[in-house]
Amino acid sequence: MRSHVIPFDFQYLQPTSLEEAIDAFARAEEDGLQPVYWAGGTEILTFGRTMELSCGAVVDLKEIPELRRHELRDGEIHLGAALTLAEVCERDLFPLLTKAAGRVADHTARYKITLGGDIAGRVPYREAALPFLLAESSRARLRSSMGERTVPFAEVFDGALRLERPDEVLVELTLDEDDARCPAFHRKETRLDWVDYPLLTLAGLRRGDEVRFAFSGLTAEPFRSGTMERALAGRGSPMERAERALEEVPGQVMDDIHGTAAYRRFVARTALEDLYSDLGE
Amino acid sequence: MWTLKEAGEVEFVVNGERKRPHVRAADTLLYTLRQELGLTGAKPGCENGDCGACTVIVDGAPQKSCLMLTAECRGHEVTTVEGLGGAPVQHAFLQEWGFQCGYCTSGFLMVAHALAQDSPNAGEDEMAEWLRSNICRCTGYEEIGEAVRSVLQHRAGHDEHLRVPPKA
Repeated sequence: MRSHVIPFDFQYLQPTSLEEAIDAFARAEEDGLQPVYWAGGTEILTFGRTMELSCGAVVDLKEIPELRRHELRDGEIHLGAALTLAEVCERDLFPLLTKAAGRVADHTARYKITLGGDIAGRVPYREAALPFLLAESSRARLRSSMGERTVPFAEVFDGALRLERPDEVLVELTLDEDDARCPAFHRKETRLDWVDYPLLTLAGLRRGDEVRFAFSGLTAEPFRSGTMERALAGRGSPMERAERALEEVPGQVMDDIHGTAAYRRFVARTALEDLYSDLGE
Repeated sequence: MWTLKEAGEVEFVVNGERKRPHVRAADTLLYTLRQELGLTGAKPGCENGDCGACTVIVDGAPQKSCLMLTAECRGHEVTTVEGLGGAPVQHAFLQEWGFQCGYCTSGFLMVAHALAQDSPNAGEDEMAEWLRSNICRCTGYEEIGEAVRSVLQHRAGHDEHLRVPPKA
């Protein structure tokens, strides 16, 4: 007897331009196929296997040149959403992103997981988003049947990617080369194994006198908090600053199989102290 | 725009031979290799991208074939363990006893072979990072590490020693 990993059928559509992709998505929607965009497809396959997700069509974005853009041009870094995390790490145009992306899943999986997929996906950690929350100049370029928009990354990402329409595509992320070269900090702690979802991930960037930081795994979704950053920049020892910053966590600290809330707070405090030592002094 | 409506033929190269299996659009590469092409070297383990037993090489990069649709392979080159053809890493696993039950071995061989091709001068950290993608439930990691290390040292030092001789 044969068993199929994916227990439902779908159409596979492979457009070669953004216009074709958006049109294919619209037609599949009209046909009632509940289409989804596909890049690495790892989440769709794993959620599909357990029937937590189903669809009648997938629109594969990998063959669209704009989503594969990977260059530094005129002082601006362009990172297409369909680049794999392995490609992003190997080119290393944005060192903090290299550190963050280089700890997502495992080495082989990073040849399949894409930058856009990590940021727009269902798995809530979205660790590749942290560097873009921190870089002042980071912007997201998006396209839908209603046109194109380029906006500051923080305007479309508040823990998850907020799209205006179901057919909207994250095309690329951009930032200034100067931001990419700022001193940076990255730490990912896991419960046991090196390869795992984060107990918490802390990423930081210093721009002039300002130290910015963002967490994944501390609360239900990744975040950057100006209130916490101001608390860390206040008076006192690094431990006192870290403790004051953690009083301002915007949301409930997670308490799950990866770690209790109290343990996460403890690990977050030591990570913040180290971040302050590395970037703040 | 290329479209596969639920099922049809997908053409790609497997171990140097052009193949055109008839597949569902939702079929994984792992399923097609084993059920349609009779290549059972890639093993179904977790079928969730965690264990690495199903690892193959696609266009030179290791890929977990349970996380790839066959449709995505159209026009690409896939190498399975059957296509290694006595590669140095296979001899090294024999020489160093790099397996116990053997179920994970083909996946480890593919990752190790891809590493040796991509980074013959890889150090300990890089080697560990590549091998962390795979799990051996017999926990034979020491011997696997020794096997991979011996291939990397041979490749880095002497190209004429690419073929590791089998244990006498």
